[in-house]
Amino acid sequence: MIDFEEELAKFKPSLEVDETEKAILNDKMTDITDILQELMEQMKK
Amino acid sequence: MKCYRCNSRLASDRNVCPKCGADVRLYRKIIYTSNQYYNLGLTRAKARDLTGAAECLRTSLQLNKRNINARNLLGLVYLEMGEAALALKEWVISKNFRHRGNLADAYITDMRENRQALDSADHSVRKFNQALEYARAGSRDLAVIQLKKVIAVNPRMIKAYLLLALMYMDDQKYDQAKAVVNKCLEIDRGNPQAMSYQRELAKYKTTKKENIGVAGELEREEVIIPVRMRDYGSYLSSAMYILIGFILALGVLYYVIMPSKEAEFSASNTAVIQDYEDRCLALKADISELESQVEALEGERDSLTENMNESSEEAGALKNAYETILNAAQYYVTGDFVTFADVFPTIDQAMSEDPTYQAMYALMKADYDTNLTTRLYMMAVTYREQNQDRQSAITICDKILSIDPNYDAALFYKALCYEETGDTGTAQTLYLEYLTGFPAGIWTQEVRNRMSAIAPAVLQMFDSGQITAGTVLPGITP
Repeated sequence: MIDFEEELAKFKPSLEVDETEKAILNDKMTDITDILQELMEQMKK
Repeated sequence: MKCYRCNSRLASDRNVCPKCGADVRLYRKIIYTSNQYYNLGLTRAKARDLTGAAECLRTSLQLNKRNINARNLLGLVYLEMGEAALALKEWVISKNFRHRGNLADAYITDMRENRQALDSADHSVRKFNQALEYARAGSRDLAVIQLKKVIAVNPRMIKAYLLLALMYMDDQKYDQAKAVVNKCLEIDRGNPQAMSYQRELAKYKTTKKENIGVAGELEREEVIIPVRMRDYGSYLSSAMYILIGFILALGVLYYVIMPSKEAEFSASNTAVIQDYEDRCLALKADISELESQVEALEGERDSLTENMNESSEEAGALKNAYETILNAAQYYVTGDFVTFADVFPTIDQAMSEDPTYQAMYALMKADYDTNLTTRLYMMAVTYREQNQDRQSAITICDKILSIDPNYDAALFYKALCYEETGDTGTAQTLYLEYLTGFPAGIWTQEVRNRMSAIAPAVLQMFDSGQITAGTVLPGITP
């Protein structure tokens, strides 16, 4: 049996075109390579 | 492939960067895995499993954010799912990583050129967000209305279908929910949420409508479409009714609405005209005031001009006074005492209160009063004795006598010069004048000696009182 409220909570608002710029600037875009580099630097310290 | 540290190109058969020496084995594995996820995402996208493709492509980007192909494809998948803003975001980021030779450039240009489509998609996203708010607030009906509008505008928006299906399911409109879910799965085959709803809806029976137009078993909110044969004559009667209605509307408009509108219009016009008349009056009043101001200013200007002229006259007089005193000073300095004697009396001492002016005047006056006659006498002597110019000597003596009538030497010298020029008559008159004015003067004896030489009879007559200095003697031209 589907719980309406539970399912409803899964829905998130979609990104509007006006908010694209903000979304791009806020996106840190960290990939595994960045994480590994950071780990290696911490290990060096 | 490029080195993650120094960005130099890596050889495919070496595990170490040729430039910076970094160990790239692990990095190479990460890149390969990212590419594998990209391939998987591409396969799923081709199979129209959009949700699955998006997941694989996001994973690919989590491994390698610079995977341009994955990012571009993810943008396409988002666009296909009705998320234009997310697609644009991915393409912009992709272009940021690679400026040239990037498909994202063409996608962005296409979006920019089809501005209407983008606006339409954005509009649908806003409406979806609004519908979601309605749903969370409990306004299910409003949410359903909004979602239907969203789907009408953006028929590929997966989230709108899913939310609408949920709304229907909650409202127990299972048939409608099924239709929506099926439509969603046509666009995105592997959507897990849609498949979950489909499984749930499979539990409920669906009523099939076998004959369109026949009323079956009544269900809640089902619309019965009556079966009827269309009559072509009804089109003509409909047109007639429409025409009659149109004519009636025109009549109502002309006889009922227009007069009131005209009255309203004329009232507003009257108000406007009144307003303009008021403004005109105010402007006229302003004009009158300005005219009177102009008059006052003209009067002020005239009086100021008059004052200025007076000041100019005063300035001119002052200038003349300074010129006069300077001229006098010049004559004095150059020794032209004759001209100085003429000019100095013309100086107006009261013309200026300037200390320098007053000092110069006082200096020259002191000399004028005390030494000038003496200087002039010396000049007369010089003219007579050195230049033999008795006429100039006479002129100077006249000048001396005009300044100081009691200067007896000048009188004597003048008479002497006349005698020497042969004008004995004038000389005699002057000698007698001397004897009358200065009976005990320095030159008295000299005068008597000269009179004895040139006119002894006259002298005798003078001495006896028969004649005076002013007597005109017969036969003697004065």
